[in-house]
Amino acid sequence: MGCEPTVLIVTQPFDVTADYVVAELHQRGVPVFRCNPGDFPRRLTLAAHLDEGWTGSLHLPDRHISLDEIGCAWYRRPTTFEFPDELSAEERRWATAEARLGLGGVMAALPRWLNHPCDIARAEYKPVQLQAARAVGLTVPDTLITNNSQEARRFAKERGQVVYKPLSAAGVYEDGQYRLVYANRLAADDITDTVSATAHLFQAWVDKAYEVRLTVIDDELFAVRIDGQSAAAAIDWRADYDNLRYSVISVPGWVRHRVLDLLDVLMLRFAALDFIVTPDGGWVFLEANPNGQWAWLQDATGLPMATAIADALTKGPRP
Amino acid sequence: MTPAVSVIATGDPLFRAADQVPLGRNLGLVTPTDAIPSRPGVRPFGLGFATAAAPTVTVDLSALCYDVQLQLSVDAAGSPAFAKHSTGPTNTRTSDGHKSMDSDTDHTED
Repeated sequence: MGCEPTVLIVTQPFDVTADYVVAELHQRGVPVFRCNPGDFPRRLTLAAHLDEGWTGSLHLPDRHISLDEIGCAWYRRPTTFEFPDELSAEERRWATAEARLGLGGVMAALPRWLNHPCDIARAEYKPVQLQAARAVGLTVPDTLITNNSQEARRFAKERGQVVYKPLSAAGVYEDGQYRLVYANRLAADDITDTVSATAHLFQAWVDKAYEVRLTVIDDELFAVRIDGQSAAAAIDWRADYDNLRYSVISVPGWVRHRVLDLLDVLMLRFAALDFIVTPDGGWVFLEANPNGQWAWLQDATGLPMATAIADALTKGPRP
Repeated sequence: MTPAVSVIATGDPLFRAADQVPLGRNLGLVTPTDAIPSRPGVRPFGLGFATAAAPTVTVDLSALCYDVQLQLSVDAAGSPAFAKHSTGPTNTRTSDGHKSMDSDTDHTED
């Protein structure tokens, strides 16, 4: 394999986004070790010994890697461990916890990540990222998180129109179909007492000229303007992918500086950020996706994001 | 004599170690689909906006397989496939030997 550090890619085998980067790394002659925790423990074997740091190796049936050969690791979309069907549910739960803290723990101890999984997990909390965004000087909509329906109605009444959006990307399987919750525009009278059933996030409605998906890879920023061509897409572009128009735009200098500050605060090297651009040109931060998707925008615009990811995985630490 | 009370920590704490190494569900492990929405007045407010995800994009994995040497998906001729990235739920069916015939969805809503 030579002396060049190997890039460890942690993801499931049919992650097409990872394929773009694997191909880019192949072109550069950079060694790659791609594996999925879903292959542990049956196909993926770990043997790690604590020396000055963790030494040892990861083995797949067809390849292996020494832990000290790993330069940078990329946490993409791994799936969970698979154990023999013969294990009871309790045995599987216990084995999963051990695997997570064993294999996951050794991986978490690797020194260089794009992004470290623990940092991804922390940054997934919208309250954390919204507070950080405001702290670095980005404009953030007035936000309320509550399970108090009266508070929610008061918040909405004071602002005229608000948006309800979920705190996580998870949907629900019901009646035989998968359902997602997108952002929805509301008035105070639309809010019911069932807000009390769990935490709900409301934000002041922000008039928009268009939205921007800003993908940040170290200090490279890729900004794509997204124009929703339907009523649903105009509120939340994720609700109607078929009616979107994409175009590459530049990022104002002050936004760039504050975005890089935000990533520093969140300890991220990669994030896909969503902004509203208001009719008067203001940029309003909506959310950060610390492990967000980006390849569909490369397909649509030609922006060289896979190249930038490969750069980030092969260069030294950010100064 | 007062019986001893045993408290076993098997719950789901607010900040779980599991959250620090987030992992998706396995390919082929489809979440049960027989749940029924609870009655109005009980169902959380936010779920009142739940809407069917966009129609799935079917990726025929019988025409693709994971090449362990290239470490990416290839077509029947062995060339990198670079399956177009979907912008919504993806339904995959495979009989390529990686797993038995299964189906799954890959929701790329973030």
